[in-house]
Amino acid sequence: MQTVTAAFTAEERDTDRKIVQSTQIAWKKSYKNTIVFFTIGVSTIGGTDLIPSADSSPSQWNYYQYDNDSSYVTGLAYERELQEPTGGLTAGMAEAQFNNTDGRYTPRTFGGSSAIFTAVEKPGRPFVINAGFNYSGIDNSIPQFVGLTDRPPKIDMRGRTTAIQGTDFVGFLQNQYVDNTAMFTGQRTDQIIASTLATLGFSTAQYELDTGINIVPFAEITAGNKFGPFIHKLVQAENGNFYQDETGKLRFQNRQAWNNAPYNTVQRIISTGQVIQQSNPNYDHLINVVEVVSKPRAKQALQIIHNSTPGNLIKANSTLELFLSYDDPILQVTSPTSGGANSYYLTNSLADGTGTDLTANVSIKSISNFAKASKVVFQNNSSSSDCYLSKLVISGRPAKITDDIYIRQQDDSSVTAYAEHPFKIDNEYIGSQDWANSYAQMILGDYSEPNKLQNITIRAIPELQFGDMISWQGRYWRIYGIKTKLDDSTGYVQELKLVQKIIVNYFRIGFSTIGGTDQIAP
Amino acid sequence: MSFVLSGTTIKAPQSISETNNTQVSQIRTLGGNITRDYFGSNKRQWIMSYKTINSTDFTTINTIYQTYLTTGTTVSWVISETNYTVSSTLVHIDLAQRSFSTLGTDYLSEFTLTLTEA
Repeated sequence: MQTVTAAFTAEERDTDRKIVQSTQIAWKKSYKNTIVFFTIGVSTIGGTDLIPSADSSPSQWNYYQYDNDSSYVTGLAYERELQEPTGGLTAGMAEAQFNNTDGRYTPRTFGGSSAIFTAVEKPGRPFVINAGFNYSGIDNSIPQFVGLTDRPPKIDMRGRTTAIQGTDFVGFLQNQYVDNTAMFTGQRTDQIIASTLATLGFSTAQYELDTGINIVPFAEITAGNKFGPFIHKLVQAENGNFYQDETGKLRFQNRQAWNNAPYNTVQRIISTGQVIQQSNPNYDHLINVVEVVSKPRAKQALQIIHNSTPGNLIKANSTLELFLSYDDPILQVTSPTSGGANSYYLTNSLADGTGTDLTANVSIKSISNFAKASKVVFQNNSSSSDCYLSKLVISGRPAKITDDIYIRQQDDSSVTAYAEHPFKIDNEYIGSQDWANSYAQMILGDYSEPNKLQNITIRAIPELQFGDMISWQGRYWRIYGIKTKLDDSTGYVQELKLVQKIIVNYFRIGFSTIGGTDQIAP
Repeated sequence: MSFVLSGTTIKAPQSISETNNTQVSQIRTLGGNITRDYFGSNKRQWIMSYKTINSTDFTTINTIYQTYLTTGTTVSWVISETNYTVSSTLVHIDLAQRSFSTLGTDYLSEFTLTLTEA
C-alpha cells in the first residue's frame, strides 16, 4: 500500500469526495537528461530542480518533458491483474479520454494545428496518471500509472473527444526482441531477471527484485525471441510475480513475498459503506487437480558433442566452411585441433578416409559458436594436394535434459464435491520434484474451494496495491487485481479481485533454518 | 453598479436566473448510504432575460457575442450591483434568439443572454 496521510484516508471514506487527477503526457517525447532532481540541503525551494517520482529514486521516465493535460480529461481507466494461480509477468493497461473541443488532440492529417498536432498520432508517448482527492482546498493525488501509449489515439471528430491507450513498461519490455542469445546456469530467478533488464537498458534504480527462491539449473533466451515469454516462464516457475507498480518501479516478488511486512498485516478494513457491488466468479477458477511437468536442463561435464566422418573435399589453397548442429544448447566448445585429445580432425588423400594422412596440411581458420550450432572454417595450406575431411570430433559442455518430472496432486474432498477441475503447468525451469510438489500443493490450497475468490467494487482507495491484505466481511483477503475507473458517470471506483491466499513457507536448503517454521514440502 | 461583459457595460436585464452546475456521480453502497464523488468545481450559469430593448443596447451585447464566436475565447463577466455581485469570472456566451414585439421604427426586441462559467 502506498503511504498516505490520515487526512487523505478520511477524505476517501467521506460520503462527499472531491476527486482530483493529474494526467501528464510527453507528447513530443523531449528528453532532458540535464534535469536535476531536488535534494534537501542542496536544492533551493522555488529553484529549477524537480521533485522525482514518489518512490524516491529518480526514474528515467522523470526526464521526459511532460504536458499537463489534466484539464482536458473526461475519464480515466487503468487496470492490473496478477497471473493467478501461477504468477508470472503482468502488464498494466490504461486509457484516458480527453475533451477535444478546442482541437488540441486533432492531428495534422485531420486538419489540426495545435501545439501537439504533429505528435498526437505517434505511439510510444510516455504518460503519467496520478489521482486522489481535494481536501482543505488542496489537490492531493498519488501515483496511479506510468506507461507508454501503444497505439494511435482514438479520435472522434463529431463527438469532439480523443482517447489514448497504453501499457506500463512491462508491456513495453515483453514485446522487445532478443538480439543475442544468452544462457544462464545455476542462477536464481532474480539474477537472471537483473541480467535481462540490464540487456534491455533498465538501470538498477528502475527495479526492485526479491531474492529468488528457485534456482534454475539452466535457462536460455535465444536471439529473435521476445523477452516477455522468457521472463514470464522464469517467474512462473518461481510462483512469483513480475509487474510494475503505481510509481513506475518494476518489481519481482518471490512466492513468499506476501509473508513479510507490510503484507502480513491488514492494510484496510473495508466496510459495506464503501462497497458498491460484490460478486463471486464462476467455477472456472476452481482447481482441484494439479499436474506439473518439467524437463529441466543442466550443464554437463566436458564430453563429445559432435562425432562425424564428413568426407568433404578441401581443395589445395582453399577453405571449407562446415556448419554443425547440436542436439542440446552448448555452453562451452573446445575448438578442434589437428592433434587434440578430445576435439580433433583428420584429413586424408581419399574420400573414404584411406590413403595418405594429410592432417598436417590443414588448420582451423576460424570457429564461431552459437547456442546449438558451430561454424568451422578449415584451411588447406598445401599449394598442390587436395584432401578430404575424414574425421571431426568436437567436445563441449552441453545443457542436457537431466530429469523428467511429472507430479499429479489432487484435493479429494474438492473432487468429490465439484468433480475434477484439472490444471497443468509445463515449465522447464521447475528443477526438482520437491519444488513441483510444493507448487502443486500451494495451488490446491488456494483454489480447491470456490469461496476463496471474490470480486468487490468499492469507492476507490487509491493507495491500495497488489498483495495488500484487506479485511472484508470478517475475512482476510489479498488483492490480486485492481481495475480503476474515474469519470463523472461512474464516479471514482475500483473493482478489486480478491483471493484468500494461504502462504506456506516450504523448506529450502540454503534458505530455511532447521527448527524454523518452514514446512517440508509434501 | 453595473453589468460588465468583456470590459463593456451592458444594459441591466429585466430578470436574472443564476444556476449551479456540478459534475457529480451519486452511488449507493451495499451499506445503504448514498455517497457522492464530485469532479471539478461548481460552475454557475446566468440566464438573463431582456425585453423591449432598443437596437443600440442589443448591438452592444451582440458585438461582444460575435467577437466571442470569432475568437473562441471566453470573456470576463462582472456584476457589481448593491446587493448582488459577481467577481470577475470567465464565461462562455450564448445569444440564441432575438424576437421583436414592437416593430415600427424602433424594433424593440426581446432576447435571452446566457453566460456559462468556463
